[in-house]
Amino acid sequence: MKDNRRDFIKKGASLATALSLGAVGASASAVKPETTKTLPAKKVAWPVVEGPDTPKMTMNISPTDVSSKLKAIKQFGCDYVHMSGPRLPWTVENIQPIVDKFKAAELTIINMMVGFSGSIIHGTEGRDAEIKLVQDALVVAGKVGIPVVEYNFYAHRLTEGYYSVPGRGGSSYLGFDYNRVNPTTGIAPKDLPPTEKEPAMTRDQLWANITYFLKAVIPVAEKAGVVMALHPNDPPPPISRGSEQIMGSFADWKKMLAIVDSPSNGMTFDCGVSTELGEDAVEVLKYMAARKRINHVHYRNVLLDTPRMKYVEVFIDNGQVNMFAIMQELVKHNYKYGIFAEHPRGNAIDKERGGDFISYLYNQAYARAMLQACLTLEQGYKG
Amino acid sequence: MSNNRRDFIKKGGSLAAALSIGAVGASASALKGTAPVPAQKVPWPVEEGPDTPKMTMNVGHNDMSSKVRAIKQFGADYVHMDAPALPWTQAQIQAIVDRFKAEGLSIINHRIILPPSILHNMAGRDEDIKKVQDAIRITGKVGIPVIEYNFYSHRLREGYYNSVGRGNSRYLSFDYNRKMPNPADNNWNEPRDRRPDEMQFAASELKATEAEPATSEEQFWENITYFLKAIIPVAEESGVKMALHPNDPPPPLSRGSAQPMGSFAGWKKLLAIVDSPANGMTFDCGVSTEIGENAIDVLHYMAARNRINHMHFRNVKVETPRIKYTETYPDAGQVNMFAVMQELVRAKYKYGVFAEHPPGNIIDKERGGDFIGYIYNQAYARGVLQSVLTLEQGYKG
Repeated sequence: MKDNRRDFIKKGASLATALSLGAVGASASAVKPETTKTLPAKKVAWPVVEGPDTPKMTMNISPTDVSSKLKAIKQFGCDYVHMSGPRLPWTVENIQPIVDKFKAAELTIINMMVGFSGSIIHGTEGRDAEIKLVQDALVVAGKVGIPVVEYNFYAHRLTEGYYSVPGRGGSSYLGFDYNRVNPTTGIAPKDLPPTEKEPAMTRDQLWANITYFLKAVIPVAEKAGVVMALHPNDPPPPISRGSEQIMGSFADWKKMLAIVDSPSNGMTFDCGVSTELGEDAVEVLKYMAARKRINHVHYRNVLLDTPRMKYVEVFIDNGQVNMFAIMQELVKHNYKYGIFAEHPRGNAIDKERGGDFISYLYNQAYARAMLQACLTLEQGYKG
Repeated sequence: MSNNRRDFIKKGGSLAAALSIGAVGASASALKGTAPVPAQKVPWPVEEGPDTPKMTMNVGHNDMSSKVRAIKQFGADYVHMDAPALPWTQAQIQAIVDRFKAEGLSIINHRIILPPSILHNMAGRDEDIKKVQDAIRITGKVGIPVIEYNFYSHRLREGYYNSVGRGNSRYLSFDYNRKMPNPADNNWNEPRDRRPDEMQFAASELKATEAEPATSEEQFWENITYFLKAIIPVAEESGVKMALHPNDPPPPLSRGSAQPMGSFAGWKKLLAIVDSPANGMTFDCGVSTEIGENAIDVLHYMAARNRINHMHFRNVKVETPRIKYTETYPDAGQVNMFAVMQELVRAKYKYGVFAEHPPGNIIDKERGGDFIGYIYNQAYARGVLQSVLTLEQGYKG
């Protein structure tokens, strides 16, 4: 990386013009007093340069949100947002106004999640029509300049295994335990049956269906200039209401990335889920980044008891994931898409105020600090 | 520093027992992660201990709101506060210590306000100094390690005005010479500090008041020397460190009074009056930058002499040293916040880090108060602290 430092700074200098996916304004401000020659930083001028090839802080927001959250996101150092897109079909006519609305608030949509019907996952009637809608959505994303489309491929998301664990200062952590008998229902998550809406799927069926899907959509994504990000199975136990999970192990992630060999066929790298699997999150990151397959990042922390089976999601600063190491590797690999500091913990202020924005704010500020620390080092600062 | 790494980690192992100023709980938890630890070499959450900086937030000593709980939740195990007016009883201060202890919070610093008799050498000075000495003894007995104080004749808040920051947030700017033809347009941050007939004046034009008479540089040094010689020996005996906050804003004159605490030379002179770690300062990387210094050089000077007894972690953009600048978000100013934290950790700075002066934001505007702004700064500082600790404990990516 050190070889790239000068190149990096050079790029940074012309970042405003070079950046196709939006303005980098977190370090910019309406107030720009000239700094004098007594710069306190040694070698690396602050605020540290961010550019086309550095990670982008992003926060989640609804396309229709008109609350103060919109302004707060910008104020608290995020120039990017991501969101669940509207229901399919997407058209330029219904997506462009969303892009424009956020642009007016100086926010760029870095990722729009697409939801599709069970026919694609289950390989049932209507699949091809639904795939056509996804293909059209990718074309629209490309036209309106949204660089990433994120999606899930669960037969069933086993949220039934989550429970609340008392955390720091009376906060609440999110525990997952595959074998814990729910005190209300008397059933452990591992014993839950399939439902009519979400029938049991085998690995073979799911692999066949995701392969069919990827071969249909990735070429369209490539042509549209859009990259796709598959979110891993979270929680990641091997079986979820009778369905085998194909996105709950590193081996399976590798297999998925190999189905279509294209940067458009990527994933959401989640350092939390990677750790929940018992993997070294830095190794997972390096594998994916080397192949240019990280198209979105979830930046969060966890304490693991038993891989895939039992863990607790904690505050970002008190889990076992080395958050500095994660950010440093992302920066070293010139990762340029969104970093979302997600799964924040319940706290006294949100409890009073309603919602969960203050907890997201804590994570966002923490992640931004890590980003600036890593950029400072990568740009050559030596203390 | 790398030589000390093993020593550091060894110490960390027994940190709970060794730490006299309170429990380090931010990284502790009833829950422990098991193998495989994904971090390379440095296990997370990264070790914090007796010789690492402590995140602290400001709180009222009688605050009973959700803020107290939120501080702990958002990763600060320490608080600091304005102490009650002097004189105190030990029972009174102990009750405050105990109340926060029950929330898992240790008081790392409490501030005392010095009366005009001490600042201006007026009648009753010796009696008032006696009250400060008694307060220092009580502070030592209840286990609060640091007392912070100011020594301003006048704090020139009249030079502050509101400016437009990131996403239309409200930044705090200072301009010693700013005036506008129409007083109603001046957008002063603290208009209450001016008399109605002073609204059109630049801060540099404001005159002394009866309550805060003009103090010359010579008088300042006489008065603070008298004070320090009387109290630092008591602080040493009591195991308490004093932290003088620098003049902020730092222009040379403040309503006619000299401001020796608005220059690095003045800070050096102050620290030399009594050569003791108990005679220390609040190191403020923002103020250090406002006066045109390299904040890292200031930090090195003070840390080498063990004189940093409290720390303000904030950022700024300077236009003219001492005269004109804007306070920004910690991530949007010219101070290399990573460098500042790295040097604090390397110096084994062990007292409080307070991420202060947050800009005004829309959530606080809706909710009232400024706590959300402080949460942002606290989270940011905690992120920088953990990045630095990870590196200093030997992580190599």
